[in-house]
Amino acid sequence: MTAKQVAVLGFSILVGGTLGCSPEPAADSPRPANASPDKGVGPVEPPQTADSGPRQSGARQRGVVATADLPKPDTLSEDDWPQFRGAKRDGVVRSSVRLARSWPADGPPKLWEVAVGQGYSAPSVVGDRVFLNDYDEEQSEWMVRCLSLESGAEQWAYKVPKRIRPNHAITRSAPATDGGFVFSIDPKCELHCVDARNGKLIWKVRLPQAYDSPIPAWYSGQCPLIDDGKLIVAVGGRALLVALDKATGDTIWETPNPDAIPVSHSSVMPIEIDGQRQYAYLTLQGLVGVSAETGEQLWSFPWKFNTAVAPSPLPLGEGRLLLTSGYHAQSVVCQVTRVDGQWSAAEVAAFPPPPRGWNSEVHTPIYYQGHVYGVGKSKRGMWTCLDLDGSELWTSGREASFGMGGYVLADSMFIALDGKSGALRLIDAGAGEYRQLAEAEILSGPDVWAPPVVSAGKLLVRDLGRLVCLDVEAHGEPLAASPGPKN
Amino acid sequence: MSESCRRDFLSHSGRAACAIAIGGVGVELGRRACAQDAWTIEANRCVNIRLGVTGASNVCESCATSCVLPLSAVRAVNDHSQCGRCCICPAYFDVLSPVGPDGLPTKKLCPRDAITRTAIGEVDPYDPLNNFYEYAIDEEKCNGCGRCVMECKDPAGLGSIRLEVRHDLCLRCNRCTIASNCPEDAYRRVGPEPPPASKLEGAHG
Ligand code: SF4
Ligand code: SF4
Ligand code: SF4
Repeated sequence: MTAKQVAVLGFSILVGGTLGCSPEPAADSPRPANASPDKGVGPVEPPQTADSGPRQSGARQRGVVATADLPKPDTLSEDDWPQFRGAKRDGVVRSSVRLARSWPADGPPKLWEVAVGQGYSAPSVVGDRVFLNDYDEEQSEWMVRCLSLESGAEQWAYKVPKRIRPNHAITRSAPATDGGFVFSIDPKCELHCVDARNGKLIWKVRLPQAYDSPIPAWYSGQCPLIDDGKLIVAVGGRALLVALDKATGDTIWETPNPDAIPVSHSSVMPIEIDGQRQYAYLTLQGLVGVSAETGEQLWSFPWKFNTAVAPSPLPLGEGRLLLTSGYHAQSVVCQVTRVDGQWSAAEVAAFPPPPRGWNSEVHTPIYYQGHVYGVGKSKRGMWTCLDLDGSELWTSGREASFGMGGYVLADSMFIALDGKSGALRLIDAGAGEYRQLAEAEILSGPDVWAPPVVSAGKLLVRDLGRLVCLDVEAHGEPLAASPGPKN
Repeated sequence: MSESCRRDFLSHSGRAACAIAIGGVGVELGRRACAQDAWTIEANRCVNIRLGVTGASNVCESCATSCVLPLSAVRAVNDHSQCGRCCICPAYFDVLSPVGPDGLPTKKLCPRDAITRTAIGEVDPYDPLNNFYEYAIDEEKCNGCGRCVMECKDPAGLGSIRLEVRHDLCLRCNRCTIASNCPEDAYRRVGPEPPPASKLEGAHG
């Protein structure tokens, strides 16, 4: 089934034992390593009926892992990609592994591929383990899967019976992991904490029930954030953002949400301004900044977005942030300052309004050496380099279009996908113009929207049916002098 | 009678008189003038249909305003087999309007309220924003203004809504006023030669 052929399926199962209607199985089941990677094995839960119960207690559930047996975080290396957009959440690979600057005619060597359900979820990688949110439509099971980066072999799969009707595909967010815990938000906004060693459930919370917030249209798109030993997620409803204890899911702080701003598809961005660690979060009403220590809202920047916001705010340094979104929204740069202890945010550059002005519907652009790079929504998705006022310095023009494909910056090259055809392209990031170094037909369209991931010279890309691992290392070439930008 | 005189005449006449004229004399005269010809819209030329520019503010309304008929012979048509049935359909809702507490835009897009929607399949009360809807266009109300067509296209829409010339309404004028006014040369007379391609260039497979 493709994203076009949207089937009308059924319902999810959302209520735990205490509510007494259509309970989920008490223990979410890790799948054995020898199970088929794309078809769940073991007992299949029958499709459940609708959960229309009240949103109250029963939203939280503890798993089966004993406190003494809780996992320990790994020490992450420069090759790890532990969350959405990498360790610094900026879409930049900082590995010192040199990457090939040209590919053979049939593309980089394929190391392995596995079947995946339709979606846009990107994987996260720590060491040899690849973590991926996935969905099995035949079994109506949502999953977190752990695969070997080396071979693609499945190590475990945490499975939850959950009926999700494809709505422009199903999965669309990446797990966050510290190598010990894995945090994933499923399409219906249930937050799961599982053990990275074996996929056993540690705790989970149904965010719509716990915070009285609706599941967004096109499902949850948010990628959770691990920062300073805490888990940070936006919830909407009763609280805008929350910080949770990684081991227990207990609340550390909540940001009040007096205007009942709903959760967006954007992900929380960690920033530091004037020496203060903060979290920036983009909603339909604009941008807010929250103290990382207390959760107190420090400032807000109202801006009109339409219908949905998927990109995250892009830090440009010195307290500046670029905000962009689709649905004809105008992009803008705001400046956050603190004067006499008072925080404020003000517009410094509004991009020309669409369709002339640049905006991005799905992806967060990448900031590199003073410029903003990304795929613009208009003009069929051209690769674009912008200055910080929104002037387009150059584009891919007629040479290439990218639809709404994802991209990453690695070893001074952008690796970008054409969201329509799945074509994989390598772009010189330092050329000052659109200079394509290589192109390969690995995936097939439509809707190849997941951002590519690079770890230790291996490139992970996916379309609506396959996750593919390619060897993109420049074997035999010397180590890079500079692994990446310093911003 | 010149095109403009005919248009004036028609627009100053009552609807019933027009209908008679359309149904009888007009059709007959038109058909006699060009027996094998019909007018059609070339999808890859029409700014409202072709891929590229989106946004109802960029719409071309010439099909609605140029036709000699009081209600244009061009109407929007939704191909249900291609429709994503999205809960937040950008052709149904004005996506620029503020989002209400129910998570939906607060205004509709169609200025003539010609689009209706009906929930289909199972309805999940816990997840109301991901239910599915069938979008139907009331052709008695639609005047082919193209706003919904402009919104129902890549990447947000799937291009299921198109503008079409309704051949049962079209007078097949020898000199079509829409064709004369079309800024994109998209309004084409088809006759013995094959019709233009309807598959959009660069669209999803
Ligand atoms: S073409 Fe115009 S009048 Fe007809 S349904 Fe679309 S928006 Fe309404
Ligand atoms: S935008 Fe087009 S494809 Fe999507 S639901 Fe509306 S009519 Fe259907
Ligand atoms: S006049 Fe031409 S461009 Fe305008 S809506 Fe009609 S066919 Fe399309």
